Amino acid sequence: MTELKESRFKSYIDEEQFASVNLTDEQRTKILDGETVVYEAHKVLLFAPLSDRKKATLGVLTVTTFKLSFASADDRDIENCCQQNFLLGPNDACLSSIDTIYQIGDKTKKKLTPGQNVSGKVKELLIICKNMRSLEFSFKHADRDSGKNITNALLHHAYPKRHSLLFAYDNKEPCVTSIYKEVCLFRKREQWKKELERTKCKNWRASVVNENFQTSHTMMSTLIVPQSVTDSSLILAIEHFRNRCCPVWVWGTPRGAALVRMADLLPTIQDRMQENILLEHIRKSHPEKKQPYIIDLTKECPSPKEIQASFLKLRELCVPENTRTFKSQDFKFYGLLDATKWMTHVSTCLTKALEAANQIYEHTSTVVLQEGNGQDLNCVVSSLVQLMLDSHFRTKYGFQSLIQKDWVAMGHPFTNRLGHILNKDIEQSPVFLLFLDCVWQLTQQYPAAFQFSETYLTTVWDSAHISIFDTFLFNCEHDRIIAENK
Amino acid sequence: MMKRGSVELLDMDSNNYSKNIALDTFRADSKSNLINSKQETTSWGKTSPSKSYCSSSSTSTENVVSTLERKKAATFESNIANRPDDPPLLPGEKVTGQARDVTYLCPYYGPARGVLTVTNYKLYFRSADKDTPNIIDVPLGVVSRIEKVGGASSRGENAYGIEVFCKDMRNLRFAHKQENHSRRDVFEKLQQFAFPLSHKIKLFAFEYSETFPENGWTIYEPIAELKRMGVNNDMWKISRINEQYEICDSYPAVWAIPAQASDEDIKAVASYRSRARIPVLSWIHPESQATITRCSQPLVGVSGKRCREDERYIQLIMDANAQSHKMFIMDARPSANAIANKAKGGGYESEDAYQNAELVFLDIHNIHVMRESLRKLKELCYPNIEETKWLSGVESTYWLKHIKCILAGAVRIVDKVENHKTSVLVHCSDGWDRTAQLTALPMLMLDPYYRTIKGFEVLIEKEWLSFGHKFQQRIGHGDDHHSDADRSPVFLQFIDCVWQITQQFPNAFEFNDYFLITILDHLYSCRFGTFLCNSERERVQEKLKEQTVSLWSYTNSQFDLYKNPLYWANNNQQRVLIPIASIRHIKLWKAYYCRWNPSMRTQV
Repeated sequence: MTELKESRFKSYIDEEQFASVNLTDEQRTKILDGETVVYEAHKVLLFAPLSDRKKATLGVLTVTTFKLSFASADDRDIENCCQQNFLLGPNDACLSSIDTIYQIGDKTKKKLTPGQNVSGKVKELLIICKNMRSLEFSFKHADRDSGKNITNALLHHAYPKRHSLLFAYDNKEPCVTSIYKEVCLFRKREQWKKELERTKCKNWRASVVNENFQTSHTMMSTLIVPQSVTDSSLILAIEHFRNRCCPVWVWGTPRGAALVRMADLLPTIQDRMQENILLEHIRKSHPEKKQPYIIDLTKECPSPKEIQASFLKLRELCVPENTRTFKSQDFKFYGLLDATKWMTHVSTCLTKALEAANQIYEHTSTVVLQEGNGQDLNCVVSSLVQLMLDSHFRTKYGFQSLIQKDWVAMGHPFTNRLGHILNKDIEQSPVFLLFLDCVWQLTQQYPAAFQFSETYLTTVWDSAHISIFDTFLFNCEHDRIIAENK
Repeated sequence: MMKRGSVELLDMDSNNYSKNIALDTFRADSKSNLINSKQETTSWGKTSPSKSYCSSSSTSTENVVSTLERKKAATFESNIANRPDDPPLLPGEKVTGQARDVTYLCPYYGPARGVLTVTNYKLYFRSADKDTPNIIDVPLGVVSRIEKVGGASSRGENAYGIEVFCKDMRNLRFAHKQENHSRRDVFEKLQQFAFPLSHKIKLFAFEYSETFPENGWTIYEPIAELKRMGVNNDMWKISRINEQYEICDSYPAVWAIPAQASDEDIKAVASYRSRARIPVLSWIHPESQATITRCSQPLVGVSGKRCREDERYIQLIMDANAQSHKMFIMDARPSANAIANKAKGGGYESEDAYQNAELVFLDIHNIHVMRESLRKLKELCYPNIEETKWLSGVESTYWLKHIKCILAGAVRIVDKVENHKTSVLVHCSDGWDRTAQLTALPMLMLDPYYRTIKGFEVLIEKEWLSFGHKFQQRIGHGDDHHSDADRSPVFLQFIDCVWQITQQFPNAFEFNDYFLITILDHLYSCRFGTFLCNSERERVQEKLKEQTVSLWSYTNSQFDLYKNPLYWANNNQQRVLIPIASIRHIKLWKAYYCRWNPSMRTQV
C-alpha cells in the first residue's frame, strides 16, 4: 500500500485551471423526464482506467435518481467511446448497475455498506459496476463536502430497499413499443398457441389453470401441458413441486419431441407419484409414446451460488485495480481464468444443452429438464437447446422472443439474481450472463449462423442493469402485473 | 480462413454429432433459415463441390490444404488412368512403394484398413471404405521421425507397424500384418523419401515440374523494394559491396547503409560484428525518416573490446534521422544471456561506447527454449485434448508467453519509431532468428504494404529469406537428424504473431488465416523452393530460381483463396497497428495447432 502513495496523482495542469469547469449544453449531464438530481459536485477528477492515477479528466459529477453521471469538457472521451446511447453518456452508470462502492484513503480501501452514512471527508471513491466497469473519482479539487455528499447520495439511492423505489416507476420518458410487433412477448395465451403452431408439435394444449396466478405465483398464466392431462390433476400435482413449478412445454419439433422444464419435488415429499403421473402424460404426448429423457440439472450444472462465486473471481481478474495487479495477473492469466471455473461452467451448460439437443434431434425423444426451483439453470439450458435446434431463435427478433419465453415469461427471478433491490435474503447470481456467454461461444463456433453480434450480446447484459427497461426488472409475470396495475 | 474447405468436411461427418446437430438442423429448417442464406453469400471462394469430392474429404485427419489440393490433383487423376487406390500425383511425382492391407490407427475414428502408398513427395493412405474413404495425405517433408512399432514377437491386434512423427503437430500410426511382410519396404521408402538428403537423393522441389501463370521468384526485387521506401536518398544508399557475398556470406547481395559510410568502414564494422552481419536498413519511416536497422551482436568479449568504426557507423545511422538525437538498440535476448555471450566473444553495446544510444533487452528466449515449448504444446494438443485444466495446460507450455514476449518487443520498437520518431537497431546473437521476428513484425505493424498478400510475400522474402534465417537448419528439410539442436520453430512463431495481430485487427490484412496456414504447410512440404537453403548465397549456388518453383507462384495463381473478406483496402485505413501485447489478448491458434482434431475445428 505504500506504493499506492507514491503513485498518487500528480497535478498535470495548472491549479488555476481547476477554478471551474465550463460545460456546453451538449456536454452537460442530460436529465430524463421524471429524473431528479440528488447531488452535484464540481471539479471532480475521473481517473482513466489503469492509469495508476496518472491520467485524469476534470468534470462535474452528478448523482440523480437514475444514474451516476460524469460530465467533462474533454471531448476525447466521446470520440473514444465505442458505445453510447440516449440514456447514458460515456462516463455514466445507471444506479442499478452499481455493485460495490469503496472509499479510498491514503493507505486504505474501505468497502462501504449500503444505506450507511459517511460523516468524514471522502477523498476518493472507487465504484465497481455489475457489468465489470470500474470508475474512480477524486474529490481533491472539489468543494469541501462534495465527496461526502456524493457518497451518501449513492449509498442511499443506488441500493433501494423496495422495488417501487426503482427509477422505472418514476420514468416519464415515452416508451418505444414498435418492436413488439416482431418480438413475441409470451404474455398472452394466443402467443403460446402460436408457438405451438409454429413448432408443429402436436398433443399439447394451453391450460388456463393459472389464468389469474391462482395455482402458482411464479409461473406464467398460460401453461402448455400434455393434451391428456386434466386441469384438476394438474392442480393436484402442482402442489408437490418446488416453487409450484410443474412440468411445462416450451418448445418441440414436428416429429413430436418436446422440450419440457420443471422444478424438483418439494424436499418434504417422499412419494414421487404426482411427478410420475405427469411424466406419464408427457410420455403419452409423444407420437411414439417414447419415454421422456430426463436431465437433472441440479446435479450436473453449477448452482446459482457457484455461478456467483465464480463470477466474483472472474470480475477480480477482469477489473484489475492498477497496472501492478494487471501485470501480476497477466503473468499467469490462463491459470487464473481456469481457477475462476467460469469457463468450466460455460462448458458444462453447453455440454448439457448439447446432450438435450442430441436427444431431441437424433433420437426424437422428449427431453425434460429438471432443476431445484426450475427457474435458473432450466432457463440457461432450455434456451441454449432451442438456439441450437431452431434457426428462428438465431435471428435478432427470434432471440428476443426466446429471452421473453424462457427467461421473462418462465419467471427467471431477475430482481433477485441481478440484485435490483437490497435484501439480505435474496441470492444474487449472474445466471443470465452465463447464458449470454454460452451464446457468445456458439457465435464464435458458428460465425455465420447468427443475425446478431457480440456487441448486441454485451448490450443486452448492460441493459439488464438499466432500471428504465422493465424486461429484466421482475422476478415473475405476476410481479410485473402487480407493478403495471399500480 | 478454414471455413471454406470445412464446409464439405463437416457436411459428411456423421461421427461427430455435436456438429451435426447444429448443421443438419440448420439445413432442415425452413426458408427463414439463416445459415443457408448466409452460406450463399459467403461462399464466394468455394468451388462447387462435386459429390465425389465431398465424400472423399470426410476424414479425421484431412486438412483444408490437402482437400483443396486434392481437388486440383483430382483433375490430374482423370487424365492419368490410375487404379482407384493410387494417389493423385503432382507433376514430377512418382509412386515408389505401396502396401495393401494396412491399418491406419486414427485417434479419433478408430482403425481403418486400406492401402498405403509412398511417393517421392508424400505418404498417402486410402481406406477401403468405398463411400467415405479415410484419406491421409501428408507431404514427406513434414515428417521428422519414423519408427517401427513392435517386432516379430508382437502379438495383439495392430501392435506391429510404423509410427510417423510430424513437424506439423501430429503423429500417424499404421499397423501392418506381419505375414504380409509389407512393413520393411514401406519403412525403407519412407526413410528414403522423407529424408532424401540423408540418402543422397534430391529434394522433391527439384523434381516438381508444375507451371503457374505467375513467376513467384520475381515477387521480391531488392532494389525495387528499397526504392519503394525512398532509397537512395540523402542519408541512405544502396550498396553492392556484398555482391559476391564476400563481406558476409549470410547476407544478401544488395543492402542499404548510411550514405556516409565508406567501404572501409563497412569492412571494419564487419570484423566487429558476429559473422560479419553489420547493421543494415530494414525499413525507413516515410515521414520522419526514423529507421529500423538489423545486425548481429558486437564482438565485445570478456575484455570489453571496442571498435571506433562501429561506434561511428551507429552514429551515422542515428544522424540519418534528423528528428531525434537518440537511438535505441534493442537486444532481443534476456540480459543474462547477452552477458553470458561475452564469454564466447560476443556481448552487447556498452552505453559508454555508444554515447547517444540506449540499450534495451527484450527478454526473448533462445531457439532451444522455443523448441521445448512447442514440444510441450504438441503433447497437449495431439491427439486428444484434456478438457479439464485445458487453459492451465496451455499456460504451462509457455508458448503463449513467448508469443506475447515477441509481440511486446515488436510493439516497443513500433512505439519508438512511430511515436518517438527514434531509430531502432535490432539484434540478438547472430541476428537471424529473433532479429528477423523483431524487424518483420514492426514492419508489418508500421507499413500497410506488408499487410497485402504480395507485400507479405515480399516481407518474408526480404527479412527472413534474404537476410539469412537458416530455414534449412531450423526446419531440417530432408534430414533425418530429428533431434538436431539447430531445429527450432522460430518462423512458426513469427506466423503465429502475425495471426495474433490479424485477430486484433480483422480489417487490416488482405490475407486470411488460410494463407498463413498454407505458408506453414509449405514451410515443411519441400514442394516449393522458397524455404530451402540457409541463405541467399546458397540459393544462388543451388540455382533454386531456375530449378524449383516458388511458393508464391502457387499462391498468387489462386489469390482468391487467400483473400480476407473483411479487408478494408483504402487509403484511409489505419497506417500503424499497435496490438495489445497482453496475455489476455493472446490466444492459442487452434485452427493451426489443433486442426487435426475434428472436434476443435471452426464450424460452419
